[in-house]
Amino acid sequence: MHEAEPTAQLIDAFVVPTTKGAAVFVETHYCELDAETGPFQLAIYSPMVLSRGEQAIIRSRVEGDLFTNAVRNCQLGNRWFLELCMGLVGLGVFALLVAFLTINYVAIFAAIFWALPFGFGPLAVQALRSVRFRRVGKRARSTLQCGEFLPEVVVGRNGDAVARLRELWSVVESKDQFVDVMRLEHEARFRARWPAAALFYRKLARLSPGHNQASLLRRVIFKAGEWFEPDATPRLIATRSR
Amino acid sequence: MINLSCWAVPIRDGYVLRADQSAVSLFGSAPARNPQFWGWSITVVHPQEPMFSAPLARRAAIFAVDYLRHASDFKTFRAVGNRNWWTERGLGFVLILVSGGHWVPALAGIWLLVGHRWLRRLIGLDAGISSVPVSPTQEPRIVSEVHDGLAKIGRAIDGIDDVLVAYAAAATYARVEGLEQVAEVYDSLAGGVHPAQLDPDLGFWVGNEIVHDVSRPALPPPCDEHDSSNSDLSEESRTR
Repeated sequence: MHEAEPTAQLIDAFVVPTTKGAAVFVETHYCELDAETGPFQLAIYSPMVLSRGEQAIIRSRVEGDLFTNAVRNCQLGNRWFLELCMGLVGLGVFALLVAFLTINYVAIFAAIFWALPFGFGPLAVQALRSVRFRRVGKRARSTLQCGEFLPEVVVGRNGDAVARLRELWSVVESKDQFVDVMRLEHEARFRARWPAAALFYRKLARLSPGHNQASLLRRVIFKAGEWFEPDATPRLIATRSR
Repeated sequence: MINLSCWAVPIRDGYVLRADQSAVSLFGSAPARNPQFWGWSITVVHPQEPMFSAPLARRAAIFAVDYLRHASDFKTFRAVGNRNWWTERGLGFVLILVSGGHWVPALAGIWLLVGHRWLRRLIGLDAGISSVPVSPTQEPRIVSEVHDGLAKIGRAIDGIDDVLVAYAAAATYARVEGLEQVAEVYDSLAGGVHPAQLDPDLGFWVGNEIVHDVSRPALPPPCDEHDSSNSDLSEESRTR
């Protein structure tokens, strides 16, 4: 592998154990990358040596993911003031309607009351998102305008990350206990103290119910955890055998 | 440059070239990117080191990627904003119906039905993402790299005499390796489909006798390939 470019912004991809092999996930939040700071470069953390073909596949998928994310976010905050005005107009119409329905209440309006959030809610959310995430939108536009993804893949050298990854792999290498996705999630959370990996395993458990042998209650708790941490969304890039 | 990958799936008498699924998202986002990045850098991942003649690998990889480019041209991101289309329109319609001549619910209904979308368009908030068809602006760069998973599969099918059994086993090996796209190719071949009759969605067959013979490229020399990619594709179809 090559050395990291001095100006490059590294995108960290981790090869972590699963029940049947290994999976690659990206921990870096694409929304925090700013193309004006420098080009993007993939840094892979893996306990085993990956062939160059595997690196190429991972790189292509991360690049596709990164730019897809940028396209999704590029409209955020673009003319955010106008978006805010639109939201306020919508709010005004909503307030007028609620006042009207309350004053002239008849039975059929009860059903309409319940439906109102579904009609007006998304418009308000759209306006709020545009204002709240205007910097994310700006970075996404800059990614599309001048974002360059370097073809060379580098070895991840962050000491903390390497240590966390080793902790996680030691779970499957010890072989003295049955390992399922939930067990790995638990180890990532408490032993490796790695929230991103824990989230990744929760996501993996949801994607593959066959791997998920935890109780219903535990699954519900995991699901609830996602609501509290909506921004941290590690992405599954590829799977491989060990 | 856009970094694309292309699988060279080993089969009994050659390879099946198939662009990686990431090409769909890369081409889907390309129209929104600065055209100076529209060049292609294609990495052909294959099972062993010296198997490809460079001109042929180049042509086949461009075909495989180009096929996916045309397939993904219309899969842009226009649908993202329309997630709430039915709830908004439905509620707007109901509000107009129950308004009974009152202007307030009628106004709210019209706002939900057409009003806010019209106003957004009027002030330019819904300016769509550019949908200009992407074509490479630079000479495509092709490199090849060894993939350990493909190498394992290649070795596995070499040891099985019956072709269909070998492909069925290869599909299983590919799934174990996490190579779902490769497994799909083997699944089709295990069903008795001749490599030359594979669906273009699954890949393009490159026979052994032309893989190893640099002096006999299967296709015309790679001149003007990015300017005439459409005609290249139809030419390939006719050849097969």
